Amino acid sequence: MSDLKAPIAVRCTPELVYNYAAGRYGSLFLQGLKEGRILASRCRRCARTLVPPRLACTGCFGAMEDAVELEPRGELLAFTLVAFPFLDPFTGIQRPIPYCYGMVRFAGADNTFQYFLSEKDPAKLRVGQPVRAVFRAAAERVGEMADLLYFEPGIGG
Amino acid sequence: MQPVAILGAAQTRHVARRDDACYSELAFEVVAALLAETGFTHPRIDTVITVSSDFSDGRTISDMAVQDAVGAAGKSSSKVSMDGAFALAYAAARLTCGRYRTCLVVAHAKASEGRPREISRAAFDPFFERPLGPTDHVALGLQARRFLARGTVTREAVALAAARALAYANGNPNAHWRGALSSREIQLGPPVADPLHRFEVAPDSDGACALLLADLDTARAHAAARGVPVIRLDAVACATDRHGLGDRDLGLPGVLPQVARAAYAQAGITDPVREIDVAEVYDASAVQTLLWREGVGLPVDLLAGPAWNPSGGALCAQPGFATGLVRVAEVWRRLAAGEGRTGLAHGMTGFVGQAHCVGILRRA
Repeated sequence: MSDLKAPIAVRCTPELVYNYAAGRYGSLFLQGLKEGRILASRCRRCARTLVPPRLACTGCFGAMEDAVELEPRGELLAFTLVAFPFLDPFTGIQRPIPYCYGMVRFAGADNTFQYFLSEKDPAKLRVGQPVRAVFRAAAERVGEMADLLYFEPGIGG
Repeated sequence: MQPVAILGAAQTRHVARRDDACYSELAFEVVAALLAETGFTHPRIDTVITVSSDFSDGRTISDMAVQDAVGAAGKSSSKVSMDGAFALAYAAARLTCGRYRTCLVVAHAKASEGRPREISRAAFDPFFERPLGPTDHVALGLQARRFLARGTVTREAVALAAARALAYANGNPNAHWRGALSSREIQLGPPVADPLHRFEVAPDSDGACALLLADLDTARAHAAARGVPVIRLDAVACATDRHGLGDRDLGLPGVLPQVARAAYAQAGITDPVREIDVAEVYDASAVQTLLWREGVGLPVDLLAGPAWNPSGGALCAQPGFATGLVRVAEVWRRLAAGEGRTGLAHGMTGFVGQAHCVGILRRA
């Protein structure tokens, strides 16, 4: 082959669009948010409670058959700062950065729930602090994740 | 290969869209059905192979998202990101190495959640092919032209194969498409991939399938305890062809003849027309219904030799990478029900059959 002077690249932007089914359990959770409630699934066999609710129990691999409501407050078990820009998959526009998101253990749950925190400065947060869920105003809730605005510092846990 | 056995098979109904279940719930559904059918419990599953596509699921490392649903947490698990039939080879290898006695294989797909044509386009070469607008369907059209140009079968025979598949699917409760259409009606239907029309190209389905494999000792004990026959997996062979559509003759069955010969040699089959009772192949088009017959060494006449895609085949349900595993499940079900002793199950991956896999199942 003759000497190549300028290697060539092409820009390629395949369009990937997905239309995910939330399924029965995911739909139940989103409907709960519309009502300002946090719903979890409970396993009859091993009594595990998981949020968001799902079919398969992570403890015994059985089907989780019961739905239970959790108090919308818990304990902040971990947090970090998101500073990398990305397009919000639900809105298609860039979410303002930086912000904090964390892992919250609801009272009565056996796992942790990840969500936005109202606090934007990680220096003002601590592991173990109580937080509470803040929802959109009832009239504005439509049954989507954004119905839950964030967790803010709260009392109890 | 040391013989292994297939203890059970389960599949969902294959439909256009399952809104009631996310894809991990589809996987859970078939695993729960399989465990109920075989009487096995999760602690008795030694290793798990899941089959999924990151692009189809829209999830990087898509297998990790179904581990909870298939009960793999805490076990050795791995993934096949090809057609599910290829997972047979992986499962057999895991069992014959002697470390595991049982292996669960689970494949799921929700074609309705992604865009199958766009996803297939992304598999083509970005410089020389993608700008032309190729998809899996476009490749099927090119293959159909090459196949028909050989003159071994008529255009009518291709439409007849599609009509026959729909008729067979009337007896398959899991089929996505069923119907009673004549070959003429099919040829007058909407074109999908010139020269192929609707029902001559496989549908895009949501569905899942699971198999339980075990070593022969475990299988014999299971069969004796439950009064069911042992269905052995006597051979698995696979091979991959050249990638580019222009680097193969699409009108020929590619590497399938060599794969079939290897499987027949492993299983001791010398006369497939007489020795195979039932065959299920992954036919993404009605051309492939005929072409893969040639590939596995059977005469083109659909009435000669084994029952050929008696479920309706992939032409009546195509749940992504689960499609080939469904072929295995269908063959297993018929052998377990006493409809013959020897069966052939085929899967493929890559456009118009770049890679093929053939398994031979036998009722002991």
